[in-house]
Amino acid sequence: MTMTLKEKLEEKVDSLKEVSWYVWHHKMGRVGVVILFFLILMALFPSLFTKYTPEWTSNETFVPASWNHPCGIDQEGKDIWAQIVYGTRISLAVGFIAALLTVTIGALVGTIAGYYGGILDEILVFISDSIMMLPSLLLLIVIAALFSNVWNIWYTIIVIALIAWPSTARMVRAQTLQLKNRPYVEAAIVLGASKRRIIFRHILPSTIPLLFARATVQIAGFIVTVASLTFLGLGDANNPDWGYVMYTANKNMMMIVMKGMWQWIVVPGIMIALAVIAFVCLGEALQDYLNPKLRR
Amino acid sequence: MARGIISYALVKIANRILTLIFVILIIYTLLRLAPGTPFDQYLYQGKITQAQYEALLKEWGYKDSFLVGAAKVLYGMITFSLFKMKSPVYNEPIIDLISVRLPYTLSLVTAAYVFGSMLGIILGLYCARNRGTLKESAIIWITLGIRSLPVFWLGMVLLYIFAFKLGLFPFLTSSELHPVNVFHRMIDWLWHSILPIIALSKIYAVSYLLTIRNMVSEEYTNDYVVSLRAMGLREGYIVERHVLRNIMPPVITMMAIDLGFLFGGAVVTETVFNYPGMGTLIYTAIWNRDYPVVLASFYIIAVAVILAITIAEITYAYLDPRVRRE
Repeated sequence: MTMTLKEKLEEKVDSLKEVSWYVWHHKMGRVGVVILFFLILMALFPSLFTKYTPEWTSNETFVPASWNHPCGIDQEGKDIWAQIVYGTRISLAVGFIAALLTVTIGALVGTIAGYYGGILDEILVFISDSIMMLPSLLLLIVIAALFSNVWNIWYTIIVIALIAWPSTARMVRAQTLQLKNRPYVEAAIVLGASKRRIIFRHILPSTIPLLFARATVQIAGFIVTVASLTFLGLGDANNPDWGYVMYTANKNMMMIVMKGMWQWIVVPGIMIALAVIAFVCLGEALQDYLNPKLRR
Repeated sequence: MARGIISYALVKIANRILTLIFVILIIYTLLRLAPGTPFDQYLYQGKITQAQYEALLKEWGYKDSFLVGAAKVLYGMITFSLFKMKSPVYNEPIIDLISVRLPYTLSLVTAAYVFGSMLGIILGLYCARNRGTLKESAIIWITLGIRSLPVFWLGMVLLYIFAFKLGLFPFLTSSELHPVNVFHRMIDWLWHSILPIIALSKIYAVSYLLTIRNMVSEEYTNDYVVSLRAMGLREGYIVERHVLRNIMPPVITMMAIDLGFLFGGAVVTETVFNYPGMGTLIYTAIWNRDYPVVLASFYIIAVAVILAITIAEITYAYLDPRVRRE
């Protein structure tokens, strides 16, 4: 029953086709795909959406919105819409990498705890329970503020992953406990497979689809988390995301009120909302796909 | 092999005390790893000499080794002397600083929580009962839209419209009325807090709506509901007496867990509205490197969260004996 590489590849492509078909014909999935398509377009080719760059500076400051500058010009004479468009790449990338890292840590810890059991399991469960007891946003804010001298976007990603892994680990652990007693795993043990081989070849692969659905929903949460952090002034000013525009807006609230520049506040929020809707819808569609009860 | 509720509770409590110690040690380690002390700015501004700086560091325990410091923190936790310590920045006992701000945060969080969860539960029940209708899907789509809006953004928009443009509410949460009696004080508090309450309650309203809707619609598919309906019972009676009772245990747990996590959202909300609560206290304390205040505030929050979750878990185990068998 050995498959050639080509056959394996064909199988993968077939299942990918099936998933895409399902998502596209899912009411929420289609909404997610369409929005995500535009956001990715914006992230990859920002120059299609604005003729200015975030570096471009005008002589005037606090100019209300016009056709030329759809969101106006900020306190430093920069075009706000250009900052938002170029921020797309950073917001999406941070959310994506953080979710990937979180799911990886969570899956590894979860399978190891579930498979080995015993004292190792107890310690890992204790640590993950303890981290879950702390309000995660508050903890993130504290860490970011404490290390603000050296803070950059990579620290944000790593710390988010270090705080957020327990819930994934808990889910994967429960899954592993179920899979551990399945006949195919027992067969592998009898055949003399090493523990590492069983974990990586037999148990982890069957949790991967679920992890994908989970990671998609987590990206949405992380985009908001990163924006909250930048909004509090704890972001990376060299890599401004959507939250950074709102941070400057909040600082210049009085000027915004006087000049009526409401677009400065509203537009970045709408962008975040669109991204969240896209990922949540996509995640829902994937979860429905994986739940055979709901598939008709 | 069901265990008794008492032994279950004792094991849980012992476990949670260990968790509390572990959590506080994590925070302590982070604070020790972070660069800077509260006196750096005085030294930088030339207000104190190098010798005075060293003396201050020694006096406030910044020269202690890691283990000695950790032992002091644990001792302070057990005897509550952590709160009697003075803050090196404000030069006031921490208990005074916290006791001024804690009521503000607690009232904000409680009001937002009660308002949000009640709204969510009522709308969730409504959606489950009218599943598949146009009204239901309209509510669900609007909810999904609102869910995706960040709290701080909602806060800014509310401030812009209701405080700045319409002038209905104050934009700084410092008491501008001079309260003459308790009733007056409550009106004053509500007037100042209504916008942050709305912004914060959004998270709960949305998540409860979706959860309750899903749980109740799943419960509706059970045979017992069908047979109750066949018996000719009113729909309201079935929901109140049977469906709600069955879904209550997980809902109670969820409510307790969420209560703790409101604190995280409260920090951001308080910053947007300049609300004088724990969030702003912790936030400024971190910037000032005012570590005793950070530790004490986290201690209070951790105790509150862990207490809420433990009580919920024990209640759940009491209501549903299957849980005790782990």
